[in-house]
Amino acid sequence: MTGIQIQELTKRFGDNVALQNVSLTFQPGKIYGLLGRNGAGKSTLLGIAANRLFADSGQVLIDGEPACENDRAQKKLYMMSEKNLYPKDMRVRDVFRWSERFYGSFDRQQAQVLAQQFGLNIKKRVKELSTGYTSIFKLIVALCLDVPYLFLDEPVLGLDANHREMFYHLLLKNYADEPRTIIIATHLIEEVANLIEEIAIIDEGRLLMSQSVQSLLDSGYCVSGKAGDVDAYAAGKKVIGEDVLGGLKTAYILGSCDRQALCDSGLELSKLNLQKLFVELTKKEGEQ
Amino acid sequence: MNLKASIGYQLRSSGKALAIFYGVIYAIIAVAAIVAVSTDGQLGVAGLETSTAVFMGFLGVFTFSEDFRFLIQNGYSRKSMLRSFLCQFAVVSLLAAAIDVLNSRLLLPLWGYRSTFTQLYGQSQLPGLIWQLLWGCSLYFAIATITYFMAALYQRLGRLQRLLFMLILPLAVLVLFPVLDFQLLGGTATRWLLKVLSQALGFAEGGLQMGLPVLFFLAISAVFSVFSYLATRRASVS
Amino acid sequence: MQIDTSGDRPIFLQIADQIEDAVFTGVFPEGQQVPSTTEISAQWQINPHTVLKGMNLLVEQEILFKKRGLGMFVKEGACARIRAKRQQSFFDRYVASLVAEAKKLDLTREQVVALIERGYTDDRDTDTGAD
Repeated sequence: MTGIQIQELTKRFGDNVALQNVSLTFQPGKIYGLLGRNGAGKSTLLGIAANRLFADSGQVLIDGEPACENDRAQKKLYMMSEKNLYPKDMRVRDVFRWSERFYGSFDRQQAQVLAQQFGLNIKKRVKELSTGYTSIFKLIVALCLDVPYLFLDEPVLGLDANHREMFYHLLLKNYADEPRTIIIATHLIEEVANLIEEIAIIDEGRLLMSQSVQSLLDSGYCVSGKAGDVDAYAAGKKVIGEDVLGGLKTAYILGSCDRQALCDSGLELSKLNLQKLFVELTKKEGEQ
Repeated sequence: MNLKASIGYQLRSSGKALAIFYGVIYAIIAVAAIVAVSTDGQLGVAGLETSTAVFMGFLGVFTFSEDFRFLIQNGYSRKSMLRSFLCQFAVVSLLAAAIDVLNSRLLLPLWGYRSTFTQLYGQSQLPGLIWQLLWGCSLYFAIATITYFMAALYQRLGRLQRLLFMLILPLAVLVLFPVLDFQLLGGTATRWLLKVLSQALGFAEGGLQMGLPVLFFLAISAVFSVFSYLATRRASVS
Repeated sequence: MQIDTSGDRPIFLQIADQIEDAVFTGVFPEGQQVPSTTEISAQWQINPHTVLKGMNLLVEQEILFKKRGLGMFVKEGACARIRAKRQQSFFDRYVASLVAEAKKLDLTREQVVALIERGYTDDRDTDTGAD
């Protein structure tokens, strides 16, 4: 298993450039957060890898093989997204049955247990399910399918708080028992910040960064205190963003922290917050 | 690959549709039979193949609109899918044609039922049965591939193009062409076309040539299978 | 167990701290098994590698040990080791910040010492049941 390689992927929809020469590697066995604002290109990227649409240029390799129009590669992955591709008249229990037939390994017993836990009636037809439960049945398929690559595109849309927690709980248990590559594409960064090991940020079709969460958090820090003190401390340092509230200021700084200078300045130190970092990096002109 | 699984799925779902279709058909036949017996007259039903042809048309469309998406979700490439669909069409066509032969020969001559095939080519014994089977099978297969292609093409077209496709094209073929032909060429083009068509359907100079329609339908199937591949090879799923 | 996602302390260290606390206060007695990486990961919704990192740290410090195929257990003598460790870091953890805070509040050294004395007196009083 060598993971998924995205190589110089470009995709246009008319005038809109959805992906601009994006290159990225997803290593096997890790949980990735593919983060981006709405319309950033996350779904397009995953859609191309999952053979749902075609790139204008570039390619996607899964374990060294091209993903495009390749049954063998595609059988290694399952994509869960908002788009429902299941026949509307099919009953949930039949979805489970056919998933097993098509993929070859699917834990149907576990699926029934999970359906019960979520309160999903498996006799219902797909068209009879609410938005939340449409997501849930697909998530159950994702959890019970034994494939090495899972794409979860905005998995918790429509789920209430209880179900969301249940899902994250089950996902981590599933991953801890048998690690595989899980790519969660979302704009809900706070929720996934502690689940993910690696982070890739896409903004307006471009890859802004791709690294481990640990190294990202280690790469910078936050200082807060009186505005004047913060400015003095931050002078000459790489400040990527600031928050101001009256006379209080918080600065987000990249680089290693000079603890002595910090102690002397009396400013408060805290670690970078992923959500804050993301917002600062993807802020557009005119946004607060 | 796992074509077995996808074919299995498609046969199951189209099998269900086929069962419902024939359920309706036989219900109609039963009613007509009761009427015929009670009035001591002829069966009021004829040419059931046309209904089956319409069913095959719908099958082609549904296969594209529903099965395509479902199989993409389950990791099938468009190439594999097309292979799977063609297998499905072939099996269903054969089954439907076999039922038609059964109907026209065994069940219904009692009440003077004349199938489309009989209406076109007359009754005949055993070799004719095989031709009837092949004729029906290849015709249905052709229809399914045509409507599958049309559904695939329709999905790729924009609003304006769809309008053109649905309105202008049939108008051009059915109205404009004959009118122009009769006005400018005195109808030679239409006559020629009809002549070619009747030959393709087996009505040759020296008598019935049953090989021709079967070949004709198979050729159409091949052409539209290729067109379908071209129409879907870059189709995105939405 | 509470995880502070916004402060300065990395998550894996927080996990190590909390398990260590539980061992020290006897919630996980010596020789007994502690919750698995999977359980902690799923319960608190934290990536298993992060949890493992924290637990491995405790293994390094000889507070936990791994029994192959079974999981993580509290090592004999862990409490004593924790006590020694914390006595060592007592100054950094508590005294340094105490002094810094006192300075911020303009408390003199004598006042701080008096407060500390009071801390012990109050403690003794509660021990003997006095109000």
